[in-house]
Amino acid sequence: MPELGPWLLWLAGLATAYSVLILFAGIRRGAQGAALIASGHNAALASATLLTLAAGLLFYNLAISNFRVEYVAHYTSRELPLFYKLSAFWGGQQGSLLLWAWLLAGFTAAVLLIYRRRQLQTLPHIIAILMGALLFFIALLLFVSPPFALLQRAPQNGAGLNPMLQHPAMVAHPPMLYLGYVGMAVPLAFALAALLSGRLEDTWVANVRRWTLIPWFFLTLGIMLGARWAYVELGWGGYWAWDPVENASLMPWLSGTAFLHSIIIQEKKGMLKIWNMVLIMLTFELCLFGTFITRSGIISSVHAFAQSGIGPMFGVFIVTTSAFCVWALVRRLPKLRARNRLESMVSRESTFLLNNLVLLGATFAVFWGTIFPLVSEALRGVKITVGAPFFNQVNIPIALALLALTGIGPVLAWRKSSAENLRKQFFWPAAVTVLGAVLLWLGEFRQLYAFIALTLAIFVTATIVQEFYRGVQARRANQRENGLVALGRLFSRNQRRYGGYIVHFGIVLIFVGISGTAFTLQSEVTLKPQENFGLGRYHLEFARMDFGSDAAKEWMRGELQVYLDGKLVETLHPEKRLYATHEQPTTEVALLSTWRDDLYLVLAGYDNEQGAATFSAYVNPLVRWLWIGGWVMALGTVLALVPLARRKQNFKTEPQAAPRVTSKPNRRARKNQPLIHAH
Amino acid sequence: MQKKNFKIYFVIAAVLVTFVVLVGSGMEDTMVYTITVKELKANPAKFEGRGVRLSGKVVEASLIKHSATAFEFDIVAEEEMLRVRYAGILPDTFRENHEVIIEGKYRGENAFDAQHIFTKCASKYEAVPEHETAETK
Repeated sequence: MPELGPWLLWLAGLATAYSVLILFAGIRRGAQGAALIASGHNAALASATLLTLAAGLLFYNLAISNFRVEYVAHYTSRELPLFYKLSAFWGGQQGSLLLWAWLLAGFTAAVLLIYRRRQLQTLPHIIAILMGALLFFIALLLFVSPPFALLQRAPQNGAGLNPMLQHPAMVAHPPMLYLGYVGMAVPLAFALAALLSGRLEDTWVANVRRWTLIPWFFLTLGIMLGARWAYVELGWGGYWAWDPVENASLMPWLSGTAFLHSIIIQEKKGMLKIWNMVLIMLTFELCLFGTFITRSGIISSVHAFAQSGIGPMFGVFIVTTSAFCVWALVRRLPKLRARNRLESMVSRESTFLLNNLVLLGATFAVFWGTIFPLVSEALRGVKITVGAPFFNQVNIPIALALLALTGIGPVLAWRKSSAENLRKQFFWPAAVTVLGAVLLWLGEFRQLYAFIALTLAIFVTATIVQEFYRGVQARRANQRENGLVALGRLFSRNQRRYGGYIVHFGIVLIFVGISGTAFTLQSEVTLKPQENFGLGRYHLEFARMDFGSDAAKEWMRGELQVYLDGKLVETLHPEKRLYATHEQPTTEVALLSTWRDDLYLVLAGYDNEQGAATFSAYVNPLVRWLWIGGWVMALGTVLALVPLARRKQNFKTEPQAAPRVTSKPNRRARKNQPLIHAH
Repeated sequence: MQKKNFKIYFVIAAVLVTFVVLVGSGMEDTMVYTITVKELKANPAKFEGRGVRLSGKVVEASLIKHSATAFEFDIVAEEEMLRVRYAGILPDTFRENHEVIIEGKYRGENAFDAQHIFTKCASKYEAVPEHETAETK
């Protein structure tokens, strides 16, 4: 019964609009508005329920292949496995928008249910803001991009999901990114609620970190999965091409990362208050910006998204929400004075400040490169693009500076690091780093950037290990615990900090993976059967070519034997497929992945007359560490977020932190607003 | 206090200047002009040796295959023709009579060395990355 779909969306729209209005009215009434606010909250929950039903309805129609629904006919076919039928939910624009709306409503419901009992005073503001954003998405679903549009006559079969998208990483990639994009609305709502209500006490800060980490986690996973998919499916040998769409996902990640760090400074020292507001606003707008540039077609991308009416609407939404943010911020500027000033350049605060500058610098560089075609066309009448070389040239030095800060920042003391402190914190890491650098040099890792990156990777790892080691040693001495217990307790007593170190270690691994690209080998060869070629430490022999077909596709597949040090280690089968439903062939990469490098093999073509096949072969060193780094980051984030141990004390402990004389929480706020402690 | 704040502003300024220099020099080296074949022909001296991105239709029967990884073909746009040389593997979706986007350098005398070839497919499917050339350096 897909006819129900539009009704559900209309009702959700009404509930959402009602929620916004009634919450607004309730907030204005102050103490008398409690009933209105309760009603507005219930309407928000109703909206979430209705959208869940709508989403369920689309899933159901996808599952049963009801091709009367245009969307189902467009993106699935009868033969498709159920898994991919369901994932076609986000294969196209209408479904993707429904997913956005549904996730946003879900986040809102989660916030509401968690904080209603805790009587967070800014909750009505937060819900009203989130519902306001939701209204935009529901309006798109109702008027521009309806997911439940019906066809006059149901076709025999659907058009099918593009074979390139039939990959597990591609199934998970879009919803992860959407969870990230949509989820950033929550910290923004917290910030705006603080501004609108004037409750700028640092309670919002304590809550917002956690709500930022959640979307940040999904954004990280989404980006990594997208990179993984590009690597194994597109067949050009790399995982990141600095395409506008990729950039669009990276920008909010970078500014969100900056926010996650600078919010700590506000929490601990009451500084950077305006800056933090700006950062979270920027992060949210950058989340929208990606959809705007891809759907409006103003910047051409190799990702051929259908251009559609929603592009300009996103543009309008960005402008409107930005204006609202700026207005809300400017009104409260006088109340956002910092409690402290920076006391020394050699302190943790100052490295956080540098970290922010560097992350924002990277964000800006990516932004500038992405929109430069527009700028140059407007100013000079010529469309000038800058491609991957620009982004690499600019971002590599920035990234290296960031990696260095990752090692330096966490071990500096707050306020001011004494010479004694510096010696204590840096002696061992520096010693290990020097030793490591010598070994790297002897190991022929002699490409400047890669050498610096790997050296810094050693440095950062050493500082992280030292932090864990010292923490464990302190507990062993003071609490008389054995090493493992001490490690576990150390972690559970301060998950945020040690989870953060694990995330940092994941970043280190990612840098290791990326620095491998400096040593990539590539070659294109045309071979007849039984001919062979060498690349790096590998030796490959082309055994034969197979051809075949089944109901869905025709394929040709090479068989190559891979020798390493004279021993046969693997037989690879790079393949080209031609699906019946799609006129273009797709590439199936053959991959031999080891800890040291990946042998990446693509069948580029086959010449029938000559009986010769052309292969593109790559040896990509250290790539595996990149994927592992992604998982380590995800693990670290989870460890920082999910409470491992029930806490007895009701305040945060931060060993080694300076005495928190300066950051005494506002007493009234504390009494009235039991806050979730970000552990 | 005064002195310390000065130091901080100095560091911030230094970082910002570094960014500007980085971005500026990065632009200078990697700019690619998106122009039409007509514009290129009208002012060849201006674009010689620079990164240029052009689009056009591959002329029927113009593709010459020197080897599996060396090709030559003509593209046509607004009735202007251009000879393109390309060393590399053609994308799966490369067809005569189809639109392509080529990126590379103009060598003068109606010869263009393509470094990348992108194909524009009339795909009715959304969210599909187009095939990129194997060479992305």
